[in-house]
Amino acid sequence: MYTINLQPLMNGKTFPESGTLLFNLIEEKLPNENKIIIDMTDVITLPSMFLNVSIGKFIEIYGVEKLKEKIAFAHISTSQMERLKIYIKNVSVLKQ
Amino acid sequence: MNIIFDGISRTKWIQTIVKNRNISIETKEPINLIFNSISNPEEIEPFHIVLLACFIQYLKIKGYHGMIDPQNEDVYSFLKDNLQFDKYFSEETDFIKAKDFSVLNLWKVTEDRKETYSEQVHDFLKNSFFKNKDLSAVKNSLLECYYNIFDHADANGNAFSFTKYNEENQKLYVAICDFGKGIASSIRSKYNVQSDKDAIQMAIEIGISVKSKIHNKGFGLNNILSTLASDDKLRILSNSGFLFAIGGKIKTFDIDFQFNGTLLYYELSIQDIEELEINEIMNLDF
Repeated sequence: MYTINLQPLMNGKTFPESGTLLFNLIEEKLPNENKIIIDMTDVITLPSMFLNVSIGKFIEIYGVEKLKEKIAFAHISTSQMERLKIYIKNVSVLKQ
Repeated sequence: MNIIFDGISRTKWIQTIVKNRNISIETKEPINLIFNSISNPEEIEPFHIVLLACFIQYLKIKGYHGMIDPQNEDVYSFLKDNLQFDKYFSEETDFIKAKDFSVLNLWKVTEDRKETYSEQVHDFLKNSFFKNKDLSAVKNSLLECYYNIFDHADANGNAFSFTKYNEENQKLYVAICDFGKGIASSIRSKYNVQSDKDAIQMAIEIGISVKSKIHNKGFGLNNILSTLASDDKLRILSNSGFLFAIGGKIKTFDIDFQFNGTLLYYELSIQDIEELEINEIMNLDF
């Protein structure tokens, strides 16, 4: 298992920049970790310009099932999780 | 030269600005902006403020000096003393704290600080009224709007935002205006759409994007729409189209003038937002 602390990754960067960093880190860890935890401590929101280059890109390349299998979130608010689920569903529909 | 804003009608304000955007005067005399038939500055909404700011900035870019005329003392005092409106154009600043610290003041949207203002609005609400609420949706909606400006608008630095919190109905009113090319124009440059109103409606659909930047996938405006409560309104004015949404229902209209830019005006009910609930671990098992 590998934990990514998202807030330090985002510090001083635009959302697209930090989203790209997140994707790159996930991709690097993917082969060797059975689960990657994205820790949302002190992260208030994940807007679309962040998600599109991270989670959205992951879905495009690896698919939703791989995302569900490999990625979990820690210290995430209920409403943010709900928005994330809607985002993932929408991306999946568009991908078809 | 005088430009008269007669009353508080949103349509009339837009029409006044559209009519005067093509002014051409020989000498660079000051242009007096006169506000008639407005007795209570409380009637001035975020909508009016961002429009006015963009217009004054537009005049400045053209080499003119737009001045708030002191004839209407109440409006003059509100804009000049409370909001310190003129300093945005004389001091080239992007944000000044209003004299009334409960007011979130005008913000000139700049690319290097487009994330900062959304944080300020979030923190203002959190610290003053809603300590335990999950206000992430508020911050999210603002971010989507600001990124849209820099990703698509070509506004050349002419974009302003103003938010106002109404304690009585617990709604946040957000207005964002830019004098760029307009959402409708952007959409029509990429998609085959019959009219500007249809283009605006298309812009809020999931997956529709002109993809100006690599991070654009067509989710931003729909994110804003999905954040609104059932009685919250969203208005988008762009080019010759207008969109109005409330309670999941969307109506679009042709307008009989050309507004070069985009004006977004929406409201968010804060009272219905849930309390902040943080989960230790959540899997994506759905």
